[in-house]
Amino acid sequence: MEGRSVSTEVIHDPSIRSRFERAKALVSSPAGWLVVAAIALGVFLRFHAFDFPQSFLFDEHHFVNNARNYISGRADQNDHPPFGKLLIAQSMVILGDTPVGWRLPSAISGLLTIGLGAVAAGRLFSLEAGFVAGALLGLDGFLISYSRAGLLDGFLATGAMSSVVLATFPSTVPLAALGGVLTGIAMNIKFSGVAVFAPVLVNILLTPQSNARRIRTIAFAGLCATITYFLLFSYGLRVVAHPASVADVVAKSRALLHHHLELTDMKNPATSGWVTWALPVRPLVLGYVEHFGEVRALTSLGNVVVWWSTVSLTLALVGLIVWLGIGRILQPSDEKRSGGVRAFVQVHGRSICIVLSSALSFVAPWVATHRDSYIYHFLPTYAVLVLISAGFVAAQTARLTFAVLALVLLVGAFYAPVWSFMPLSPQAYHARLFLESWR
Amino acid sequence: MALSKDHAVAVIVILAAACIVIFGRRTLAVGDSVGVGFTLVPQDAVALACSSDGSLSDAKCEYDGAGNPIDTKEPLRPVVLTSSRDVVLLSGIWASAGVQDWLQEARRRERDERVEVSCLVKYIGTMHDVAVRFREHDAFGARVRLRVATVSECRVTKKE
Repeated sequence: MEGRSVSTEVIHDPSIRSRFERAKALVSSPAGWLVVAAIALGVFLRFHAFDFPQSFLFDEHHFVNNARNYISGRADQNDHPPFGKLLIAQSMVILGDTPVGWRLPSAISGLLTIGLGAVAAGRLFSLEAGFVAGALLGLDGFLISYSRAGLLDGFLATGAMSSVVLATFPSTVPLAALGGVLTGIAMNIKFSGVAVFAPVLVNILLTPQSNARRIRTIAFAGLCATITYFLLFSYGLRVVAHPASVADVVAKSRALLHHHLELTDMKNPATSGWVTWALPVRPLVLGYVEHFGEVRALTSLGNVVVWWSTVSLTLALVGLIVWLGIGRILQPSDEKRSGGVRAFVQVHGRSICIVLSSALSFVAPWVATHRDSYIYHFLPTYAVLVLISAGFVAAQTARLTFAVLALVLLVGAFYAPVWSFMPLSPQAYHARLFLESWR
Repeated sequence: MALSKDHAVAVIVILAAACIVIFGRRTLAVGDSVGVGFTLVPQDAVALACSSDGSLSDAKCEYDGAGNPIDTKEPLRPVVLTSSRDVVLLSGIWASAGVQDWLQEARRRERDERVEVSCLVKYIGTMHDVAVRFREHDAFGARVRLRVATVSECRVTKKE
C-alpha cells in the first residue's frame, strides 16, 4: 500500500490470473465459507415465500396500481417520475399481474446490489473486502426486505452502488457519460436519485487532469444525465398518450417537485427524522399477517451487527476526516496497514471520499429540508456505507474478520424469519423486534 | 484442500446458524398461551357449536360426528378471530366471569348487542375432522382441521 499515488489508489491491477487464484484461496478459507453461507442464506431469504402475501405490502399499491395504469394506458397518479413503475409494469407484462410480477424487478435489483457492492469494495479496498461486502450486503434485512417488495428504493440502492463502481475507475469522458446516464435513470425513479452523480463528480475532481478538462467532463456527464432524464420521462408520458415534449417534462417535473416540497408535516406514523436512522428508531414493518398463535412478518430492520458497526464507523470516519482535513487524507500515505481507524482513513482516503460522497448526497435532501422522511430514504446511503465497513473489517486480522462474519451470520439467522415471512410465535417476533417502535 | 481447526469452527458456526433458522422461531406449541380477540352476540351462547367424534384433553364438541348431542360441561365453541379471520375452537368462553357478566346483563336487558372480547387461551392441539356452525338452526359445514384452545380468562373490551 505504501507510496501509492493518489490517482491510482483505487485501481488494483494484478493479473487476472493471480486475482482468480487469490479469490479461489479466499473462498476455500474458513472466512470464505462463512461468506458463502451468508450470501446463500441472504439469497434464500430474498426468495422464500416470495409471493406471500398475495395482497400488497406497505406502499406497493402506489407503484403496482400505477404500473397497471401504464399497462392499460391510463395516467400515472403517483408522485414519482415514471421509470420505476415502468420497470414493474414490464415485469407484470412478462410474468403477469401477480405478486411475483410486482416484486421480481426488486429482487433482481437486490441481487445486482450485492454483486456490484462486492465489485466496488474489491476495487476500493481489497479483494478480501469484496468478499466481506458480499456477505454484509447479502445478509442484511434492510436490503433483503426491499428486494422482496414492489417498491422503488432498492432500485436507487443499485444505482448508488453502480455509480460507486464507476468511480473506482480513472475518470474518462465515456465513463463520465455512463455516470451521467445512470444519474438520469436514477432521477427518473425518484428525484433523490440525483445523488448517484456524486461519486462520478468526486472521481472527476480527484482524477489528475487540467481544470478545463474537468469542467468539460462534468458538463458532458451532466448533459448525458439531463438527456437521459428527459428521454425516459418523455417515454413514460408517451406510454399513457400524454403530451411528451421537453416543455411537458419540465412542467410535470416541476409539479411533482412542488408537491414533494410541500410534504413537510411529518404526521404519517411511518415517518422518521434522519437523525433517528442511526439506531434506527423506526424501521418499517412492510408486511404483517397474524394467525392463531403465529405471526408472519417482513421488517426493514437491518442486521444490527452490520447496522450499528457501520453507523459507528461512519461517525468515527467523518469525525476523523473533519479533524485531519480532506487534503491530508488524500495524500499518499506511508502508513503501514493496520487495523486502526486512522490508518484505514490514511490508506484509503480517496476510496472513503468516494463512498461518503454517495452516502452523504443521498441523505442531504432530508437533512437540508423539512420534507417528510422515512427510513427507506436511508437505503442507498446505508448500502454504500456497508462498503466501508467491509473494507475496514477486511483490513483487520484474519481472526477478527472471521469473528465479525460469524456474528453477522448468526444474527442474520436469528432475524431470518422476520426478513422472509417465516411463521414464528408472537414471543419470538417480539424477541427479535424488541423495541416497541420496531414493531 | 487442507481443512484446519478454523474450518471446523466455520462448519460449527454454519450449522448453528442453520439450527437457529430452523428451530429458533418457536412456532406454536401445545401449552402455549395466546391472546385472541373475537366478537360475540348473546345468541352465540346457543348458536356456536361444533360436531366431531374426537376430543382433546377432555375438550369435546357439543355434538358427535353424526350430529347427536353429547353430554359435556364446557363444549368447544367455534369463533372467528378478528385479526386473522381464522376459525378456532375454544372451550370455556361462557364460563369466564367477564363474558358471563356481560351475557347475564344483555339477557336481563334483552339487548342484542355485539361486543368485542379479548381472551387469553391455552393451545391444546389440533382437532381433525370437525364441522362447525355459527347459527342455531344451520347445518354443520364441511369437515376441517381446527386448532383448539381452552380459555384462561376473558374480558369484554368494547361494545359496538
